[in-house]
Amino acid sequence: MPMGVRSAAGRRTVTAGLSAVILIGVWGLVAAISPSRTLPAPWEVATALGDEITSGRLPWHLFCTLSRVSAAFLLAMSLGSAIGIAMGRHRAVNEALDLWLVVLLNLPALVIIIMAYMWFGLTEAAAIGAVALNKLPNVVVTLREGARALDPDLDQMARAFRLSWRKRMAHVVLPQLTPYFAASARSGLALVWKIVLVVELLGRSNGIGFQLNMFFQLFDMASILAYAISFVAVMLAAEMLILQPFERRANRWRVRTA
Amino acid sequence: MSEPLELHIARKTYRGAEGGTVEAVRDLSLAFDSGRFTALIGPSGCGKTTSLRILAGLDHDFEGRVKLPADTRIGFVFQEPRLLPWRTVIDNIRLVLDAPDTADLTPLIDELGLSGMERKFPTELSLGLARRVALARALAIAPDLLILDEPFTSLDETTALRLRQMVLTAWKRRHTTAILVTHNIREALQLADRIILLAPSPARVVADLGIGLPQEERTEAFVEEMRTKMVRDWPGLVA
Ligand SMILES: Nc1ncnc2c1ncn2[C@@H]1O[C@H](COP(=O)(O)OP(=O)(O)OP(=O)(O)O)[C@@H](O)[C@H]1O
Ligand SMILES: [Mg+2]
Repeated sequence: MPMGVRSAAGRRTVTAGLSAVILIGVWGLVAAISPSRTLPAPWEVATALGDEITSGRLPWHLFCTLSRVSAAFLLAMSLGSAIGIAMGRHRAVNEALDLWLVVLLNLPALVIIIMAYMWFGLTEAAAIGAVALNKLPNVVVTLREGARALDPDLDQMARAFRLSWRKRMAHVVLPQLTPYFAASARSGLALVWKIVLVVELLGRSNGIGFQLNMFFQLFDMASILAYAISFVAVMLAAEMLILQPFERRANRWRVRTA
Repeated sequence: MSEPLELHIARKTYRGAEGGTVEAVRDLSLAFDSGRFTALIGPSGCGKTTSLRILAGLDHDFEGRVKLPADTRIGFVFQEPRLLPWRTVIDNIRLVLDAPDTADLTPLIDELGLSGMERKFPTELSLGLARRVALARALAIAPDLLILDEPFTSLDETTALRLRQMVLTAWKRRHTTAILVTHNIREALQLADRIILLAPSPARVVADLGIGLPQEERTEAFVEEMRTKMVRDWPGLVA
């Protein structure tokens, strides 16, 4: 390799960049050969993106959507973890909640959203609550699995040394659940932002979902792509800048044998 | 603490993996005088670990009773080190302290030959070193009751000797009640002032010997002589 990229991370970045360039090239080529309203060329999308950014519209709607994503995500993660851990640790709690969990798992996202809007009105709280409720059962199931896999020997050690509940949670229980948090956070973020767009489309007057719906009415494919791409880019950045470093930090103690 | 600790297990069964039950201990009564160092010797699987767990109040699912003051500080060295793999050596020890910020652990760390290891994670330690950390953790809380479940296995003889000396010092200093489970009769003869021999499963007391001679006066010859005598009297139980 001419630039001498040695590290695995560097190689991965180069490969990813290369495949993106090829995709855009092919896209531009196809758009040039058969121009159509439904497949604008990359530069048209770039122009639309530039307009939306300079006008301040895209940053504003992106901000609205991201606020909803983080609120719903945090709500689902904290509530779901607490319920999941309780269900995994105590049989009685598990038996009491298991049925509701199965119901919630099988309820389509759309049904929850419509019910939330009809019962609680087209409000911000209903929107965020509906998204969180969609994500909740997955978090519960994952963390219940984690709580069931807790090491009973360490639990016994904690009891032998009379550790307080707080210490037990912070030093014994939660560290064992890190991989389960990471798994549900990762799948959760992807699920939450997809559902947030639906919620916005159905009952909000701002956010990416609202904008996409508007451009759909106008049949403006360039703007739709501009919004979609910028949003995916933001979520990708969140994954790489927040989730992955967190996971690496939490896994510091693992000895790499491979 | 001056009352003796009492343990009576009428019956302790475990649920087997296929739903059946395994009887681990039946009709075992033990009393441990406060301030004494007792060694328990018995064949593998006779229920020593099970009995210690019940004594320490870690297992309530048994028939019988335990007499142990509720505020007893128990320093438990488990048969496996049981350290938190995601905490460093020093944090593993600090974790069990009531006032971790004011405690000075340097003397303990030094005595156990752990200096320089403080920032390592347990996964980076050999089993022998991990055992020392587990011992440090148990001694750090200045326990009223020190429970040692085969703490010196997989250590080389020199290290084991040093650690036994440490345990002895800690025991003397605070007049801790100590219970040591071991398969090593020499170890028991060096440390304990009382040796209880247990029969194979279900555990039953075969012999209860007091050793009057203070630990520091026990010579190698004394230990060997006692051992030979015990091997003769209880062949099969003592090696
Ligand atoms: N969690 C468990 N589930 C089922 N059976 C168990 C369990 N723990 C111990 N046992 C059984 O109970 C008996 C006593 O076990 P215990 O661990 O107390 O023996 P031990 O005297 O400590 O043996 P060792 O010297 O090998 O450590 C054994 O037959 C063992 O198979
Ligand atoms: Mg044992």
